[in-house]
Amino acid sequence: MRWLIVAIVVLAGVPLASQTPATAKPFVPKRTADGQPDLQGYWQWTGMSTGNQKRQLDVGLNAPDGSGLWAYSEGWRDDQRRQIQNTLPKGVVDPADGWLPLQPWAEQTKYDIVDNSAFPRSLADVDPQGRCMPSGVPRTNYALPYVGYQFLQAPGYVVLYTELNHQPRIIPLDGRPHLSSKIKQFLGDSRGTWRGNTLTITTKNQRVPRATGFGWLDMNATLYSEAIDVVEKYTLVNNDIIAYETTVTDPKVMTRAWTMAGTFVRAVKDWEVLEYACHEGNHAIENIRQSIELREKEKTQKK
Amino acid sequence: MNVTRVLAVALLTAASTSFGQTPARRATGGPPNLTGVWQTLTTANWDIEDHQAEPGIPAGQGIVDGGQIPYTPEAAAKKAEHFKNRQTLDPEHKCYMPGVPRFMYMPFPIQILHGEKFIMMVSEYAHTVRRIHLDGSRHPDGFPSTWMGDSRARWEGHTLVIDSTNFTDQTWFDRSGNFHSDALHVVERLTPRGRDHLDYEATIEDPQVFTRPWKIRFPLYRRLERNVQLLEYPCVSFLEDEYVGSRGRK
Repeated sequence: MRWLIVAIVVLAGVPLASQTPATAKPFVPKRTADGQPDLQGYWQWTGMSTGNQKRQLDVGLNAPDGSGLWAYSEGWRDDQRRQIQNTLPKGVVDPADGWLPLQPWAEQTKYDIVDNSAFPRSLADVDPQGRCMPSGVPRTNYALPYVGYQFLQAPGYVVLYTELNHQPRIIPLDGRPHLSSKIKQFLGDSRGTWRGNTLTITTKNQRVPRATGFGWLDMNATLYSEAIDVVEKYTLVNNDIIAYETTVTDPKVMTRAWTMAGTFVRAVKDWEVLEYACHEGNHAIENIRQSIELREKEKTQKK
Repeated sequence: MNVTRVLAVALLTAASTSFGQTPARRATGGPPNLTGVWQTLTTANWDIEDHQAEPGIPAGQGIVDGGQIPYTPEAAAKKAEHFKNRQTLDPEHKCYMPGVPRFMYMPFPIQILHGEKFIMMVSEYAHTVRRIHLDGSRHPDGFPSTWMGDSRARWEGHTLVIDSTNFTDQTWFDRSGNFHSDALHVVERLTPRGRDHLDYEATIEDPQVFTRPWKIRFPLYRRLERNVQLLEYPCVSFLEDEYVGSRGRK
Protein backbone atom coordinates (compact mmCIF):
# COMPACT_ATOMS: atom_id res chain seq x y z
CA MET A 1 0.00 0.00 0.00
CA ARG A 2 2.93 2.35 0.69
CA TRP A 3 3.80 2.67 -3.01
CA LEU A 4 0.29 3.97 -3.57
CA ILE A 5 0.66 6.62 -0.87
CA VAL A 6 4.00 7.68 -2.34
CA ALA A 7 2.48 7.86 -5.81
CA ILE A 8 -0.48 9.89 -4.61
CA VAL A 9 1.71 12.25 -2.63
CA VAL A 10 4.01 12.79 -5.59
CA LEU A 11 1.06 13.41 -7.88
CA ALA A 12 -0.45 15.82 -5.40
CA GLY A 13 2.78 17.83 -5.52
CA VAL A 14 3.57 17.65 -1.82
CA PRO A 15 7.12 16.66 -0.94
CA LEU A 16 6.97 13.64 1.33
CA ALA A 17 9.30 15.16 3.90
CA SER A 18 7.04 18.12 4.51
CA GLN A 19 3.89 16.16 5.41
CA THR A 20 2.75 16.48 8.99
CA PRO A 21 2.73 13.04 10.57
CA ALA A 22 -1.04 13.09 10.95
CA THR A 23 -1.71 13.40 7.18
CA ALA A 24 -0.92 10.17 5.36
CA LYS A 25 -3.98 10.40 3.12
CA PRO A 26 -4.10 13.04 0.38
CA PHE A 27 -6.04 16.14 1.38
CA VAL A 28 -9.03 16.77 -0.83
CA PRO A 29 -9.85 20.45 -0.48
CA LYS A 30 -13.11 22.22 -1.24
CA ARG A 31 -13.19 23.77 -4.70
CA THR A 32 -14.08 27.27 -5.82
CA ALA A 33 -16.83 27.83 -8.40
CA ASP A 34 -14.24 27.67 -11.19
CA GLY A 35 -12.66 24.48 -9.84
CA GLN A 36 -9.56 25.74 -8.02
CA PRO A 37 -8.57 24.20 -4.69
CA ASP A 38 -10.04 26.66 -2.22
CA LEU A 39 -7.49 28.50 -0.06
CA GLN A 40 -9.62 31.49 0.76
CA GLY A 41 -9.76 33.12 4.15
CA TYR A 42 -7.56 34.84 6.69
CA TRP A 43 -4.10 33.45 7.37
CA GLN A 44 -1.15 33.97 9.67
CA TRP A 45 2.48 33.38 8.70
CA THR A 46 4.69 31.22 10.86
CA GLY A 47 8.32 31.49 9.95
CA MET A 48 11.44 31.01 11.90
CA SER A 49 13.15 33.05 14.49
CA THR A 50 16.78 33.45 13.77
CA GLY A 51 19.70 33.41 16.05
CA ASN A 52 22.15 36.22 15.90
CA GLN A 53 23.88 34.97 12.79
CA LYS A 54 23.78 37.93 10.51
CA ARG A 55 23.70 35.89 7.35
CA GLN A 56 20.42 34.18 8.18
CA LEU A 57 17.18 35.43 6.74
CA ASP A 58 15.18 37.12 9.42
CA VAL A 59 11.65 36.11 8.43
CA GLY A 60 9.92 37.51 11.45
CA LEU A 61 9.81 36.75 15.08
CA ASN A 62 7.59 33.71 15.06
CA ALA A 63 9.43 30.69 16.39
CA PRO A 64 7.82 27.34 15.50
CA ASP A 65 6.15 27.27 18.92
CA GLY A 66 4.66 30.73 18.37
CA SER A 67 6.85 32.52 20.86
CA GLY A 68 7.71 35.98 19.61
CA LEU A 69 4.27 36.30 18.04
CA TRP A 70 3.35 39.91 18.43
CA ALA A 71 -0.21 40.89 19.09
CA TYR A 72 -2.29 43.75 20.30
CA SER A 73 -4.55 41.35 22.14
CA GLU A 74 -3.33 38.66 24.54
CA GLY A 75 -6.41 36.51 23.97
CA TRP A 76 -5.88 36.48 20.24
CA ARG A 77 -2.17 35.83 20.60
CA ASP A 78 -2.69 32.83 22.89
CA ASP A 79 -5.38 31.34 20.64
CA GLN A 80 -3.25 31.86 17.58
CA ARG A 81 -0.17 30.37 19.26
CA ARG A 82 -2.07 27.17 20.05
CA GLN A 83 -3.29 27.01 16.48
CA ILE A 84 -0.05 27.62 14.63
CA GLN A 85 2.16 24.87 15.94
CA ASN A 86 3.15 22.45 13.24
CA THR A 87 6.25 20.50 12.36
CA LEU A 88 6.55 21.53 8.72
CA PRO A 89 9.91 22.93 7.63
CA LYS A 90 10.67 26.57 8.30
CA GLY A 91 13.57 28.82 7.44
CA VAL A 92 16.33 28.47 4.88
CA VAL A 93 16.33 24.81 3.80
CA ASP A 94 18.86 25.09 0.99
CA PRO A 95 21.77 25.59 1.65
CA ALA A 96 21.28 22.86 4.23
CA ASP A 97 23.24 24.74 6.91
CA GLY A 98 20.67 27.57 6.81
CA TRP A 99 23.16 30.27 5.85
CA LEU A 100 22.30 32.51 2.89
CA PRO A 101 24.82 32.31 0.03
CA LEU A 102 25.58 36.07 0.00
CA GLN A 103 28.34 37.43 -2.19
CA PRO A 104 31.11 38.93 -0.02
CA TRP A 105 30.21 42.56 -0.84
CA ALA A 106 26.55 41.91 0.01
CA GLU A 107 27.46 40.27 3.30
CA GLN A 108 29.70 43.20 4.18
CA THR A 109 27.03 45.72 3.22
CA LYS A 110 24.49 43.84 5.35
CA TYR A 111 26.70 44.00 8.47
CA ASP A 112 27.54 47.61 7.71
CA ILE A 113 23.92 48.71 7.44
CA VAL A 114 22.82 46.75 10.51
CA ASP A 115 25.66 48.30 12.54
CA ASN A 116 24.47 51.77 11.49
CA SER A 117 20.75 51.17 11.73
CA ALA A 118 20.28 53.13 14.97
CA PHE A 119 21.76 56.25 13.35
CA PRO A 120 21.22 55.90 9.59
CA ARG A 121 23.81 57.70 7.52
CA SER A 122 21.45 57.98 4.56
CA LEU A 123 18.16 56.61 3.36
CA ALA A 124 20.03 53.51 2.17
CA ASP A 125 20.41 52.52 5.84
CA VAL A 126 16.64 52.62 6.37
CA ASP A 127 14.49 49.56 5.61
CA PRO A 128 12.46 50.26 2.44
CA GLN A 129 9.51 48.52 4.05
CA GLY A 130 9.70 51.03 6.86
CA ARG A 131 9.61 53.75 4.20
CA CYS A 132 6.34 52.23 2.95
CA MET A 133 7.85 50.83 -0.23
CA PRO A 134 6.05 47.60 -1.13
CA SER A 135 7.81 44.59 0.43
CA GLY A 136 8.54 42.73 -2.79
CA VAL A 137 8.45 38.98 -3.29
CA PRO A 138 9.02 36.82 -1.27
CA ARG A 139 9.15 39.26 1.66
CA THR A 140 5.48 40.18 1.31
CA ASN A 141 4.74 36.67 2.67
CA TYR A 142 6.47 37.32 5.99
CA ALA A 143 6.42 41.11 6.10
CA LEU A 144 5.72 41.59 9.81
CA PRO A 145 4.74 39.20 12.61
CA TYR A 146 1.64 41.06 13.75
CA VAL A 147 -0.10 41.58 10.45
CA GLY A 148 -1.96 38.95 8.52
CA TYR A 149 -3.10 37.82 5.14
CA GLN A 150 -6.29 37.44 3.19
CA PHE A 151 -6.34 35.02 0.28
CA LEU A 152 -9.20 35.38 -2.19
CA GLN A 153 -10.09 33.59 -5.41
CA ALA A 154 -12.08 34.86 -8.39
CA PRO A 155 -12.59 33.02 -11.69
CA GLY A 156 -9.11 32.56 -13.15
CA TYR A 157 -7.28 34.38 -10.35
CA VAL A 158 -5.74 33.93 -6.96
CA VAL A 159 -5.31 37.09 -4.88
CA LEU A 160 -2.73 37.04 -2.09
CA TYR A 161 -3.31 40.12 0.03
CA THR A 162 -0.81 41.26 2.66
CA GLU A 163 -2.37 43.43 5.36
CA LEU A 164 0.86 45.42 5.71
CA ASN A 165 0.71 48.41 3.41
CA HIS A 166 -2.32 46.92 1.60
CA GLN A 167 -0.19 44.87 -0.80
CA PRO A 168 -2.26 42.80 -3.25
CA ARG A 169 -0.75 40.21 -5.57
CA ILE A 170 -3.17 39.36 -8.35
CA ILE A 171 -2.09 36.04 -9.87
CA PRO A 172 -3.61 35.11 -13.25
CA LEU A 173 -3.95 31.39 -13.92
CA ASP A 174 -4.71 31.55 -17.64
CA GLY A 175 -1.17 30.93 -18.87
CA ARG A 176 -0.69 34.41 -20.32
CA PRO A 177 2.96 35.44 -20.84
CA HIS A 178 4.86 37.57 -18.36
CA LEU A 179 5.17 41.29 -19.00
CA SER A 180 8.23 42.38 -20.98
CA SER A 181 11.27 43.34 -18.94
CA LYS A 182 10.53 46.99 -19.75
CA ILE A 183 7.87 47.03 -17.04
CA LYS A 184 9.26 46.46 -13.56
CA GLN A 185 7.10 46.49 -10.46
CA PHE A 186 7.67 46.44 -6.71
CA LEU A 187 5.55 43.32 -6.32
CA GLY A 188 6.87 41.93 -9.59
CA ASP A 189 4.82 40.23 -12.27
CA SER A 190 3.36 36.88 -11.24
CA ARG A 191 1.87 33.92 -13.06
CA GLY A 192 0.30 30.92 -11.33
CA THR A 193 -0.46 27.29 -12.07
CA TRP A 194 -2.32 24.74 -9.97
CA ARG A 195 -1.01 21.19 -9.93
CA GLY A 196 -2.90 19.04 -7.47
CA ASN A 197 -3.01 20.94 -4.20
CA THR A 198 0.01 23.09 -5.05
CA LEU A 199 -0.11 26.56 -6.52
CA THR A 200 3.20 27.39 -8.20
CA ILE A 201 3.86 31.09 -8.83
CA THR A 202 6.69 32.48 -10.92
CA THR A 203 7.50 36.13 -10.27
CA LYS A 204 9.66 38.21 -12.56
CA ASN A 205 10.24 41.91 -13.26
CA GLN A 206 10.75 43.11 -9.71
CA ARG A 207 12.03 46.62 -9.22
CA VAL A 208 13.75 48.25 -6.28
CA PRO A 209 13.52 51.79 -4.84
CA ARG A 210 15.22 54.23 -7.17
CA ALA A 211 16.44 56.38 -4.28
CA THR A 212 18.54 53.60 -2.73
CA GLY A 213 19.17 50.97 -5.39
CA PHE A 214 18.29 47.72 -3.57
CA GLY A 215 15.32 46.08 -1.94
CA TRP A 216 15.57 44.28 1.38
CA LEU A 217 14.49 40.67 1.90
CA ASP A 218 14.22 41.17 5.66
CA MET A 219 14.61 43.72 8.43
CA ASN A 220 18.37 43.17 8.54
CA ALA A 221 19.44 44.45 5.14
CA THR A 222 19.59 41.19 3.22
CA LEU A 223 19.57 42.92 -0.14
CA TYR A 224 17.96 42.00 -3.43
CA SER A 225 18.52 43.53 -6.86
CA GLU A 226 16.41 43.83 -10.01
CA ALA A 227 17.99 40.58 -11.18
CA ILE A 228 15.89 38.67 -8.64
CA ASP A 229 13.76 35.78 -9.89
CA VAL A 230 11.35 33.93 -7.60
CA VAL A 231 9.43 30.66 -7.75
CA GLU A 232 6.99 29.92 -4.92
CA LYS A 233 4.89 26.92 -4.03
CA TYR A 234 1.80 27.17 -1.84
CA THR A 235 0.55 23.69 -0.93
CA LEU A 236 -2.71 23.03 0.87
CA VAL A 237 -1.72 20.48 3.50
CA ASN A 238 -5.08 20.42 5.28
CA ASN A 239 -7.89 22.89 5.82
CA ASP A 240 -5.82 25.00 8.23
CA ILE A 241 -2.26 24.83 6.92
CA ILE A 242 -0.57 25.97 3.73
CA ALA A 243 3.03 24.82 3.33
CA TYR A 244 5.11 27.50 1.64
CA GLU A 245 8.40 27.13 -0.15
CA THR A 246 10.29 29.61 -2.31
CA THR A 247 13.42 29.37 -4.44
CA VAL A 248 15.14 32.68 -5.08
CA THR A 249 17.85 33.50 -7.63
CA ASP A 250 19.68 36.81 -7.64
CA PRO A 251 23.02 36.68 -9.45
CA LYS A 252 23.91 40.25 -8.39
CA VAL A 253 23.66 39.53 -4.66
CA MET A 254 23.84 35.76 -4.04
CA THR A 255 26.40 33.18 -5.19
CA ARG A 256 23.67 30.69 -6.04
CA ALA A 257 19.94 29.99 -5.77
CA TRP A 258 18.57 29.27 -2.30
CA THR A 259 15.31 27.98 -0.86
CA MET A 260 13.24 28.93 2.15
CA ALA A 261 10.18 27.27 3.72
CA GLY A 262 7.43 28.32 6.12
CA THR A 263 3.74 27.87 6.75
CA PHE A 264 0.55 29.86 6.67
CA VAL A 265 -1.93 28.84 9.34
CA ARG A 266 -5.59 29.73 9.20
CA ALA A 267 -6.34 32.61 11.55
CA VAL A 268 -8.57 31.96 14.53
CA LYS A 269 -12.31 32.62 14.24
CA ASP A 270 -13.53 36.24 14.04
CA TRP A 271 -10.11 37.55 13.10
CA GLU A 272 -9.69 39.56 9.93
CA VAL A 273 -7.26 41.99 8.35
CA LEU A 274 -7.79 45.71 8.90
CA GLU A 275 -6.72 48.75 6.95
CA TYR A 276 -3.00 49.46 7.23
CA ALA A 277 -2.45 53.05 6.12
CA CYS A 278 1.34 52.95 5.94
CA HIS A 279 2.23 56.08 4.02
CA GLU A 280 -0.63 58.14 5.44
CA GLY A 281 0.82 57.57 8.90
CA ASN A 282 4.46 57.97 7.90
CA HIS A 283 5.51 61.36 9.21
CA ALA A 284 9.09 60.18 9.25
CA ILE A 285 9.64 60.78 5.55
CA GLU A 286 9.74 64.54 6.06
CA ASN A 287 11.91 64.17 9.16
CA ILE A 288 14.33 61.94 7.27
CA ARG A 289 14.60 64.42 4.44
CA GLN A 290 15.32 67.26 6.85
CA SER A 291 17.88 65.29 8.82
CA ILE A 292 19.77 64.27 5.68
CA GLU A 293 19.80 67.90 4.55
CA LEU A 294 21.04 69.04 7.95
CA ARG A 295 23.86 66.51 8.02
CA GLU A 296 24.99 67.53 4.57
CA LYS A 297 24.96 71.15 5.61
CA GLU A 298 27.11 70.25 8.63
CA LYS A 299 29.56 68.43 6.40
CA THR A 300 30.00 71.36 4.03
CA GLN A 301 30.31 73.84 6.92
CA LYS A 302 33.10 71.77 8.46
CA LYS A 303 35.14 71.87 5.24
CA MET B 1 -8.83 1.95 0.83
CA ASN B 2 -10.46 1.45 -2.57
CA VAL B 3 -7.52 1.44 -4.96
CA THR B 4 -9.49 2.53 -7.99
CA ARG B 5 -11.10 5.45 -6.20
CA VAL B 6 -7.80 6.64 -4.74
CA LEU B 7 -6.09 6.45 -8.12
CA ALA B 8 -8.96 8.36 -9.71
CA VAL B 9 -8.67 11.11 -7.11
CA ALA B 10 -4.91 11.20 -7.56
CA LEU B 11 -5.15 11.51 -11.34
CA LEU B 12 -7.84 14.17 -11.08
CA THR B 13 -5.88 16.30 -8.66
CA ALA B 14 -2.68 15.85 -10.64
CA ALA B 15 -4.14 17.18 -13.88
CA SER B 16 -2.96 20.71 -14.52
CA THR B 17 -6.26 22.38 -15.25
CA SER B 18 -6.76 25.82 -16.67
CA PHE B 19 -9.16 27.96 -14.71
CA GLY B 20 -10.66 31.25 -15.51
CA GLN B 21 -13.79 30.83 -17.46
CA THR B 22 -15.45 34.04 -16.39
CA PRO B 23 -19.10 33.19 -16.79
CA ALA B 24 -21.30 36.00 -17.96
CA ARG B 25 -24.05 34.49 -15.89
CA ARG B 26 -23.97 31.70 -13.37
CA ALA B 27 -25.70 28.50 -14.41
CA THR B 28 -28.50 29.25 -11.94
CA GLY B 29 -29.23 32.58 -13.72
CA GLY B 30 -28.06 34.49 -10.66
CA PRO B 31 -26.13 37.73 -10.60
CA PRO B 32 -23.10 37.95 -12.89
CA ASN B 33 -19.49 37.76 -11.80
CA LEU B 34 -17.90 41.20 -12.01
CA THR B 35 -14.28 40.02 -12.17
CA GLY B 36 -12.35 42.09 -14.67
CA VAL B 37 -10.36 45.24 -15.26
CA TRP B 38 -12.57 48.34 -15.41
CA GLN B 39 -12.02 52.04 -15.89
CA THR B 40 -13.99 55.26 -16.08
CA LEU B 41 -13.71 57.72 -18.94
CA THR B 42 -14.97 60.78 -17.06
CA THR B 43 -12.71 63.61 -15.91
CA ALA B 44 -14.32 63.52 -12.47
CA ASN B 45 -10.98 63.15 -10.69
CA TRP B 46 -10.22 66.76 -11.63
CA ASP B 47 -13.68 68.05 -10.74
CA ILE B 48 -16.87 66.07 -10.20
CA GLU B 49 -18.95 69.08 -11.22
CA ASP B 50 -19.07 70.62 -14.72
CA HIS B 51 -15.77 72.29 -15.48
CA GLN B 52 -14.08 73.88 -18.46
CA ALA B 53 -10.56 73.06 -19.62
CA GLU B 54 -7.41 74.48 -18.05
CA PRO B 55 -3.86 73.88 -19.24
CA GLY B 56 -3.31 70.14 -18.79
CA ILE B 57 -6.87 69.58 -17.60
CA PRO B 58 -9.60 68.48 -20.00
CA ALA B 59 -13.09 69.96 -19.75
CA GLY B 60 -15.73 67.72 -18.26
CA GLN B 61 -19.43 67.30 -17.87
CA GLY B 62 -19.94 66.63 -14.19
CA ILE B 63 -21.11 63.36 -12.69
CA VAL B 64 -23.36 65.00 -10.06
CA ASP B 65 -27.10 64.53 -10.52
CA GLY B 66 -28.64 67.99 -10.75
CA GLY B 67 -25.24 69.55 -11.42
CA GLN B 68 -24.35 71.08 -8.04
CA ILE B 69 -23.19 69.60 -4.77
CA PRO B 70 -25.61 70.76 -2.03
CA TYR B 71 -23.14 72.18 0.50
CA THR B 72 -24.25 73.98 3.65
CA PRO B 73 -23.15 77.64 3.58
CA GLU B 74 -20.21 77.00 5.96
CA ALA B 75 -19.12 73.96 3.95
CA ALA B 76 -19.35 75.89 0.68
CA ALA B 77 -16.93 78.47 2.11
CA LYS B 78 -14.57 75.69 3.17
CA LYS B 79 -14.73 74.20 -0.32
CA ALA B 80 -13.78 77.56 -1.81
CA GLU B 81 -10.74 77.66 0.52
CA HIS B 82 -9.78 74.15 -0.55
CA PHE B 83 -10.07 75.10 -4.20
CA LYS B 84 -7.80 78.11 -3.75
CA ASN B 85 -5.14 75.98 -2.05
CA ARG B 86 -5.69 72.75 -3.91
CA GLN B 87 -2.09 72.43 -5.13
CA THR B 88 -0.91 71.91 -1.56
CA LEU B 89 -4.02 70.59 0.16
CA ASP B 90 -5.22 67.83 -2.20
CA PRO B 91 -4.35 64.55 -0.45
CA GLU B 92 -3.64 63.02 -3.87
CA HIS B 93 -0.53 65.20 -4.12
CA LYS B 94 0.83 63.43 -1.04
CA CYS B 95 -0.03 60.01 -2.51
CA TYR B 96 -2.67 59.38 0.14
CA MET B 97 -5.46 56.87 -0.48
CA PRO B 98 -8.32 58.43 -2.44
CA GLY B 99 -11.27 57.19 -0.34
CA VAL B 100 -14.70 56.35 -1.72
CA PRO B 101 -16.08 57.08 -4.28
CA ARG B 102 -12.98 58.79 -5.73
CA PHE B 103 -11.30 55.34 -5.97
CA MET B 104 -13.84 54.46 -8.67
CA TYR B 105 -13.04 57.38 -11.00
CA MET B 106 -9.29 57.91 -10.62
CA PRO B 107 -7.63 57.94 -14.06
CA PHE B 108 -6.27 54.43 -13.52
CA PRO B 109 -7.74 51.00 -14.16
CA ILE B 110 -9.27 49.10 -11.26
CA GLN B 111 -9.55 45.35 -11.05
CA ILE B 112 -12.58 43.76 -9.45
CA LEU B 113 -11.90 40.30 -8.00
CA HIS B 114 -15.30 38.83 -7.26
CA GLY B 115 -15.24 35.80 -4.95
CA GLU B 116 -18.32 34.04 -3.62
CA LYS B 117 -18.50 35.81 -0.25
CA PHE B 118 -16.05 38.65 -0.73
CA ILE B 119 -15.07 41.23 -3.33
CA MET B 120 -11.74 42.97 -3.55
CA MET B 121 -11.27 46.00 -5.78
CA VAL B 122 -7.69 46.96 -6.53
CA SER B 123 -6.63 50.25 -8.10
CA GLU B 124 -3.46 50.64 -10.11
CA TYR B 125 -3.03 53.89 -8.16
CA ALA B 126 -0.72 53.23 -5.21
CA HIS B 127 -2.01 49.65 -4.86
CA THR B 128 -5.09 50.98 -3.09
CA VAL B 129 -7.55 48.27 -2.15
CA ARG B 130 -11.25 48.19 -1.25
CA ARG B 131 -12.38 45.18 0.76
CA ILE B 132 -16.09 44.50 0.39
CA HIS B 133 -17.86 41.88 2.50
CA LEU B 134 -20.53 39.99 0.57
CA ASP B 135 -21.44 37.56 3.35
CA GLY B 136 -24.45 39.28 4.86
CA SER B 137 -22.42 40.75 7.71
CA ARG B 138 -23.08 44.20 9.13
CA HIS B 139 -20.78 47.12 9.81
CA PRO B 140 -18.90 46.34 13.01
CA ASP B 141 -18.95 48.59 16.07
CA GLY B 142 -15.85 50.17 17.46
CA PHE B 143 -13.46 49.69 14.54
CA PRO B 144 -11.03 52.55 13.91
CA SER B 145 -12.01 54.91 11.11
CA THR B 146 -10.40 54.25 7.77
CA TRP B 147 -9.42 55.94 4.52
CA MET B 148 -11.26 53.41 2.36
CA GLY B 149 -14.27 52.78 4.58
CA ASP B 150 -15.96 49.63 5.80
CA SER B 151 -18.00 48.13 2.95
CA ARG B 152 -20.83 45.57 3.17
CA ALA B 153 -22.59 44.51 -0.01
CA ARG B 154 -25.65 42.57 -1.12
CA TRP B 155 -27.36 41.79 -4.41
CA GLU B 156 -30.69 43.33 -5.36
CA GLY B 157 -31.47 41.35 -8.49
CA HIS B 158 -28.57 42.11 -10.80
CA THR B 159 -27.49 45.24 -8.94
CA LEU B 160 -24.65 45.06 -6.45
CA VAL B 161 -25.44 47.43 -3.60
CA ILE B 162 -22.44 48.45 -1.48
CA ASP B 163 -22.97 50.28 1.81
CA SER B 164 -19.89 52.05 3.20
CA THR B 165 -19.27 53.89 6.45
CA ASN B 166 -16.46 54.38 8.97
CA PHE B 167 -14.48 56.93 6.99
CA THR B 168 -11.94 59.49 8.16
CA ASP B 169 -12.44 63.07 7.00
CA GLN B 170 -9.07 63.12 5.25
CA THR B 171 -10.01 62.40 1.64
CA TRP B 172 -11.37 64.65 -1.07
CA PHE B 173 -13.82 63.74 -3.79
CA ASP B 174 -11.59 65.30 -6.49
CA ARG B 175 -8.69 67.69 -7.12
CA SER B 176 -10.99 70.70 -6.79
CA GLY B 177 -11.47 70.55 -3.06
CA ASN B 178 -14.85 68.82 -2.79
CA PHE B 179 -14.82 67.14 0.60
CA HIS B 180 -16.69 65.38 3.40
CA SER B 181 -16.57 64.79 7.16
CA ASP B 182 -16.12 61.53 9.06
CA ALA B 183 -19.92 61.18 9.05
CA LEU B 184 -19.76 60.22 5.37
CA HIS B 185 -22.06 57.39 4.29
CA VAL B 186 -21.92 56.11 0.70
CA VAL B 187 -24.32 53.68 -0.97
CA GLU B 188 -23.18 52.50 -4.37
CA ARG B 189 -25.14 50.58 -6.97
CA LEU B 190 -23.35 48.70 -9.73
CA THR B 191 -25.55 47.24 -12.47
CA PRO B 192 -24.06 45.40 -15.44
CA ARG B 193 -25.26 46.65 -18.79
CA GLY B 194 -24.22 43.91 -21.18
CA ARG B 195 -20.95 42.13 -20.68
CA ASP B 196 -18.58 45.10 -20.85
CA HIS B 197 -20.29 47.98 -19.07
CA LEU B 198 -21.27 48.69 -15.50
CA ASP B 199 -23.72 51.44 -14.65
CA TYR B 200 -22.36 53.03 -11.49
CA GLU B 201 -24.38 55.22 -9.19
CA ALA B 202 -23.52 56.42 -5.70
CA THR B 203 -25.60 58.23 -3.10
CA ILE B 204 -23.52 60.43 -0.83
CA GLU B 205 -24.82 61.43 2.56
CA ASP B 206 -23.07 63.59 5.15
CA PRO B 207 -25.32 65.78 7.30
CA GLN B 208 -22.29 67.69 8.64
CA VAL B 209 -21.41 69.01 5.20
CA PHE B 210 -24.42 68.71 2.85
CA THR B 211 -28.01 69.88 3.16
CA ARG B 212 -29.30 66.60 1.71
CA PRO B 213 -28.03 63.35 0.13
CA TRP B 214 -26.91 63.66 -3.48
CA LYS B 215 -25.95 61.27 -6.29
CA ILE B 216 -23.23 60.77 -8.83
CA ARG B 217 -23.42 58.43 -11.81
CA PHE B 218 -21.21 57.31 -14.70
CA PRO B 219 -20.45 54.15 -16.66
CA LEU B 220 -17.47 51.90 -16.03
CA TYR B 221 -15.96 50.32 -19.13
CA ARG B 222 -14.34 46.92 -19.22
CA ARG B 223 -10.72 47.13 -20.44
CA LEU B 224 -10.64 44.78 -23.42
CA GLU B 225 -6.98 44.85 -24.49
CA ARG B 226 -5.48 41.40 -24.90
CA ASN B 227 -3.87 40.17 -21.67
CA VAL B 228 -4.76 43.42 -19.96
CA GLN B 229 -3.61 43.53 -16.35
CA LEU B 230 -3.25 46.05 -13.59
CA LEU B 231 0.24 47.57 -13.48
CA GLU B 232 1.75 49.72 -10.73
CA TYR B 233 1.70 53.45 -10.10
CA PRO B 234 4.14 53.54 -7.15
CA CYS B 235 3.22 57.01 -5.99
CA VAL B 236 5.07 56.79 -2.66
CA SER B 237 8.29 55.75 -4.35
CA PHE B 238 8.06 58.80 -6.63
CA LEU B 239 7.55 60.99 -3.59
CA GLU B 240 10.62 59.52 -1.96
CA ASP B 241 12.66 60.12 -5.12
CA GLU B 242 11.49 63.71 -5.14
CA TYR B 243 12.35 64.25 -1.47
CA VAL B 244 15.64 62.50 -1.38
CA GLY B 245 16.82 61.92 -4.91
CA SER B 246 20.16 60.26 -5.43
CA ARG B 247 21.33 61.65 -2.10
CA GLY B 248 19.65 58.57 -0.66
CA ARG B 249 22.59 56.50 -1.79
CA LYS B 250 25.70 56.43 0.31
